[in-house]
Amino acid sequence: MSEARQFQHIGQRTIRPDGFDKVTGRANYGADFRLPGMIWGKILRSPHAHAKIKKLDVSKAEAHPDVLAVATHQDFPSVNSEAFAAGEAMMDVLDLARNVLADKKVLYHGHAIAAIAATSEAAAAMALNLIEVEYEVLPPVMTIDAALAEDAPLLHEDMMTQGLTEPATTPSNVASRMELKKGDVASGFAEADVIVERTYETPTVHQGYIEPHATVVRYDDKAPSLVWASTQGHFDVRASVSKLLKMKLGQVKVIASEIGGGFGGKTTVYLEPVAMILSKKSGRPVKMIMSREEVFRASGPASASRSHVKIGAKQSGEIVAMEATLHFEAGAFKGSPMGPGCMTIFTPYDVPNLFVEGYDVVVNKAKVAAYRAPGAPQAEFAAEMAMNELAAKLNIDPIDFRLLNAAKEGTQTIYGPKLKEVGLVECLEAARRSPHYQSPVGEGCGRGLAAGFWFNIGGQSSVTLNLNPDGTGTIIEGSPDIGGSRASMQMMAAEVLGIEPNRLNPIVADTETLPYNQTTGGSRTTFATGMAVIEAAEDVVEQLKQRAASLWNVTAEQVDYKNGVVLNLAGDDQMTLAQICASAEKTGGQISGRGNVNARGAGPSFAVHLCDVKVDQETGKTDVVRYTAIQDAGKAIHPSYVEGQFQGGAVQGIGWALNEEYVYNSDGIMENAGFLDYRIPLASDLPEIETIIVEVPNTFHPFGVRGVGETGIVPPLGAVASAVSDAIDRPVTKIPCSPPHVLSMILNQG
Amino acid sequence: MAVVRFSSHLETRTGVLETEVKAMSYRDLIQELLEKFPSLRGSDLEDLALALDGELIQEPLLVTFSSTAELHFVPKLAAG
Amino acid sequence: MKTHVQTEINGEAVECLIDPSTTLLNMLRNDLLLTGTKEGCGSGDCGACSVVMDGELVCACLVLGVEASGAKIETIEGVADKDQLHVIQEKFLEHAALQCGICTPGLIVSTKALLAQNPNPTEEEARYFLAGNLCRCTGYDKIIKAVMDAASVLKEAS
Repeated sequence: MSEARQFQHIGQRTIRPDGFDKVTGRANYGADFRLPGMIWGKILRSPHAHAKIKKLDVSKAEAHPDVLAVATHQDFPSVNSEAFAAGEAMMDVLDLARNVLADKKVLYHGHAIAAIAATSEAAAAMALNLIEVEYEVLPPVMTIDAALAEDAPLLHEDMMTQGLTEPATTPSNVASRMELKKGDVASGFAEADVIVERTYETPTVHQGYIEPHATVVRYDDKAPSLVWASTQGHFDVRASVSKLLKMKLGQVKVIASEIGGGFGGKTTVYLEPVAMILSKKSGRPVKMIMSREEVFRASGPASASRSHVKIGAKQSGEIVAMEATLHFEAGAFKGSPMGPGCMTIFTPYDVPNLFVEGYDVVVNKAKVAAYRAPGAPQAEFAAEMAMNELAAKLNIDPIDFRLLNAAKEGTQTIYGPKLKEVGLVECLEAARRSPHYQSPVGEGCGRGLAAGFWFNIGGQSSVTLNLNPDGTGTIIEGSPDIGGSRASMQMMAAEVLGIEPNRLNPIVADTETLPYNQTTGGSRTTFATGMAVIEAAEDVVEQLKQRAASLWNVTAEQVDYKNGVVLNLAGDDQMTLAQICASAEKTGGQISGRGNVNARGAGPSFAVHLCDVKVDQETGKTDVVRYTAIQDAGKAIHPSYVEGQFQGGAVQGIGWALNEEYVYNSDGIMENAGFLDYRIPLASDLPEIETIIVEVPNTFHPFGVRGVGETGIVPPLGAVASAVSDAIDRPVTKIPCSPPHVLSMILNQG
Repeated sequence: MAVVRFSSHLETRTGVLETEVKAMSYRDLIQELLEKFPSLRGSDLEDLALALDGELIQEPLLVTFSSTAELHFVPKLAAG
Repeated sequence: MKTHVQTEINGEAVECLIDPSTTLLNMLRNDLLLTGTKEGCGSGDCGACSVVMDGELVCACLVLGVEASGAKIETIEGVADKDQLHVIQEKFLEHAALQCGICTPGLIVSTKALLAQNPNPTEEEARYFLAGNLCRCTGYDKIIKAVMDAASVLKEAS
């Protein structure tokens, strides 16, 4: 087992293999690629949040000498409603086609209507003005309440709510309902001495990756067409393009560029299928880049939510029942992360009686995309706020209260399985011991804490590990590296092979080089692709042993492999990996290991965050003055990048809790579509983010790895907002705790 | 016999939250459940992942298990 | 009508023909193929396109290419000396101060400008100077540690 294991490389803080290129500006991101003869594509976007397209005439644009192609929804071969796996979410191909280029109706401000490819970026932008569109403007549906209203305008005339006990007979804006239960909440609440019941709200927010979506596409009739894309999953870009344009998978080759952030927002497609149409029609490679404004208006925000939560406990602190109703905005098309919201909301706690129902609601906003632990931050925010209020009412320390009820090995979750070994108790204990929790709360400050849970996923990864005649090698993997994962792959392979990590160069290969690899997301890469790397390295070890054995004329059982050296147990001979590689020609050709996994046993990760804030009572401005993130990593392969995941998740969550929100006007138009007004945290907004890595190994992974990327964004919403509650002595039920909102809470004192 | 637990959503078709099965493989399990609960449709189950003794399996087609196994049908996960 | 621009980039004289409305950022990226300078917003809010022009830190997306005529421009491509990384670059790598890396060129250029102007910044001064460079991955913690470490190494060396 991994607990007692001594590692040679794992746990070290190596320099990442792609580092030199990234600090010198040589690394090529989505917008950094060009092809000979390349032209530029631009998209015409809807000026209305909700409207019928009465007329769409592109003839004047097509006639312009600078314009080489125009694309509209009519250019898609007809596709039928069909669910397919894209990214990690199930996607309806018809919805995807209608999101990428609107059909008959526009469903949000910024919805793509048509695209133009022209000789320059400026010419393409100018020519958009030549497209004539007539709209019949409809009232926009911008909130959950507006969508649920009896006389609400319908986004989709044919949408029947799925998941009801009795099938729906009239269309509505509710795409689906889900229900989970355990025990009997009514009898549970009957036993409760104290009950907290509140409704919590979170706003529409954006993943806020710094690199806008960008692609270069070259259609080819005779050879595979080329797609260069900034994406978390180039195999799923291939799947989407192929579904939408009815091309064979082998006809589409996707190269993943370096990716400038994604956080879930680059698990779907916006530009690539459009650029493919433009390239096919023009016969030229087409480059498309979104502006920042387009990124905000038309790419993946995360769901706004409303969660009604009720928690009851005995005076002793034992929780007897928890109940929630969640409403999640999906944006223009069905498919919010309401499901994972329902599944995660109460999972940190071992409680006999649970009931959760969720509703997936469409509104006239851009279709939501995954955002780091999709659904969990919104849902668990509500639960954690109520937990803190309940702890205060019971006069129990919030850590003790959680420890009394903490989920542990054997806890029956509401979504099905019993938990295996998990590290929530260890995180809570580490939080209690932390210098932060041991320190007094500053004058005029408030302190909050929250726990968080995320499943993590496994899935399909394929890796090839090729060795060169001099004993160096290449790790060929298919997971776009969004935050330093190539360093982890190098270290895991080096650990198995017993050689220095920098002898192996990891590369992210294109879709022709490897079989299908699932998208980077779900905190799966270091876990699942890591397992494929380990399997490939173990395959290499077996081959090295066989090669040495055949050179020594002994059997493979008579040799052992240790620290990069094969030992002849039948004699004194030994050969290094490099020596065996040098003679590989004589023993059957070069050495190449393979790892193909559909990884099971992803280990859930729990976290606990502590936050101190200072609130300016005059202005309502809130500053985070101290912050600590504690999380179970299973085993930290590269501790610096694990800490970085904790810190990055924490700060995105701080932004969500304090500042970030889409502000819409009464016409459904976002008023803050830029980084000046949609304010993500700056260096000057923040203190040091302290981290504590807890390691409760995941027994399913050879080195004990759990995913770490997502859980860290789950607790901050509750930790920050409950710190604000503490500082102003009022219950916060709505984020962001922006200055006007906090000031109004201060002024409305009872 | 292995124990199968249903979500409250599936309960609307099975009428029970829990049942015992003779099956010791995923394929046999599906067949047995469809025979036992006529209002269940194959797609109700096949669109779901399986949790076997707490381990989530997204693609359970080839899974086998012991007579003491605990099985749950679980929504497939999305993630960012 | 295109305009002829003569300028100096990272110590090399260069010239190109650009449309007068072309930004310095697009001139660098599209005309001179210096793609190390990144675009994150095009409105001067994110700092990914930070370059130094005649000693002053600017967002290249807010400067016209024609304004670079006769100026001296320093970009990320000029920070390292061939294969020898600048101390700031080394410290960013040592401290794992980047995840996706898209903001990194801008942050390194800005850090160099900070340390040229204030070789001995406090952590707070560093945080405020770099407030114009957005990073969404790291939470800035490791960036600030790298900057402070680079400052102390450079100070010892001088």
